[in-house]
Amino acid sequence: MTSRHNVTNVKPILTKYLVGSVVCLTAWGYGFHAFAGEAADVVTELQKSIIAVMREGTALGYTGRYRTMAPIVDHTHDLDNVARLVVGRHWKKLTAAQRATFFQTFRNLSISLYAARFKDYNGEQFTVHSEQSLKRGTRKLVVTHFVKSDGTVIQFHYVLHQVNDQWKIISVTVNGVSDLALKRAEYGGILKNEGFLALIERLNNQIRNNANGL
Amino acid sequence: MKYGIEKRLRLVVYLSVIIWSTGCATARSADVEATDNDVLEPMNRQMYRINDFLDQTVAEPIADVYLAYMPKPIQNSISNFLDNVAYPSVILNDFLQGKGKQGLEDSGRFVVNSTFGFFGIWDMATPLGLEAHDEDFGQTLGVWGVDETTYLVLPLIGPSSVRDAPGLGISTLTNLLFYVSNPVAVPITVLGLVDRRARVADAVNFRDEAAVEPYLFTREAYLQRRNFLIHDGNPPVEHDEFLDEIFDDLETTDAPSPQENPADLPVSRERESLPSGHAYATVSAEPASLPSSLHTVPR
Repeated sequence: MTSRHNVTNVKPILTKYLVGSVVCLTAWGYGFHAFAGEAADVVTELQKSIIAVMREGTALGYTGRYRTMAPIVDHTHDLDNVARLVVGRHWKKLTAAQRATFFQTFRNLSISLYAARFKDYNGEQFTVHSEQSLKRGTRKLVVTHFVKSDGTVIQFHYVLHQVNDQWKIISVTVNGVSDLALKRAEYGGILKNEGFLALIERLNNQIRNNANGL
Repeated sequence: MKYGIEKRLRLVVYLSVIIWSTGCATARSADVEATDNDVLEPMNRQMYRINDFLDQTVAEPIADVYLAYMPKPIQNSISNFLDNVAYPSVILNDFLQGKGKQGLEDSGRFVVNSTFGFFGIWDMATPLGLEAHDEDFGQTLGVWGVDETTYLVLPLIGPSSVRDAPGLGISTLTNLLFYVSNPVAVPITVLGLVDRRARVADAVNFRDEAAVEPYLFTREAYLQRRNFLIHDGNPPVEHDEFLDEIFDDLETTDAPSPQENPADLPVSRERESLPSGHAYATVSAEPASLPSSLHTVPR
């Protein structure tokens, strides 16, 4: 009875990982060169992966979407610096252990948000609208449009900077609202008023909610 | 149009709100730092909780029923009609912001939709190239140089600011429903409230999913969104300045300062009260039903 139960559990898991591998390879195959190229190529690569995951979203399930997006998020985002930026001035007060914990939690959260939000496909499209250098020349702004099936256009602005000669996303702004600035305000407020453990607890709750589809 | 005492009283109240709010805006911009935009936070948080309670118990259930059972084409027609009766505010603010061409186009949009669109029920103007714009008096004050000032959470209305609050009066006075008798205006206004709540349902759901501190999330999202609208969707310069600021901050906070004592943080007190090994528990992002060997996600 137990072995039969295990067998029936393993099949969907294998299916998910098989589908996940295909999606991942397909996404990478689109433009492997993009990661070594200009900023817009990095954004395009991320968005192609998102669409690919959305197309297979139901078959992959949350876990499959998480596993597919994890390496892509790691390659296209500068999570090391984003994690420091969202904490702001509190960063220097954190111990090494706290920093490591925060980074791991923040990384899990970032990937889980992609896995939770982009879970099915209804004809949505991303289009890259423009790329421009910001005034210091060390950053680039890539403007893209997310077109929903009903024609509604949502603006996604990505700011990228170079890490080891590779463009990486440092900030995403959706219809004028910066994810980086939002998190910086939220996390800074929680750290100031409630402390580090409260912040980690809240982030973990959000990860749980994402995993459970809440 | 004949004005009754009730209408005149409403007008006086609205004008008083405008004058009071504008006066406050002028006073605030002179003596408050730009970064300190929530000096009324305790009161705002209280109002936020009340609004949130009312939203969850009254507005959201009604909007959910409306979204579930009202056919989408009718929802769209209701939204079109309500947008059209409120559109004179957009036209007025186009001209107040010096956007003459846009003002003329929006005037044309209003005329086309009010006539060929049968009082705005059908949006006939957009296919003709007369796109809708989003302008209000708060944006106009922003264009005129009134700084982002004190953030406000208004009863029932929600996020606003001392700069944006006067826009409520202007929007009311320029809404055609203001000049219609109450037996007609009241039910349409109630329908408008339901329509408005239904339209922000996705945004509220997004906040519920994404926010770890909903009050701060809502405040920052509102203030950023207003800045975005004031700049007609193109404020990259400020964005870069924001990044300059935080990158500069990062460069000065890269390593823990020997002068800083981590025990100053609230976390240190919490850590001491927890059993060792449990202070930094990290939740797996994956469901617990997976084999344990699959829990470690490679970097």
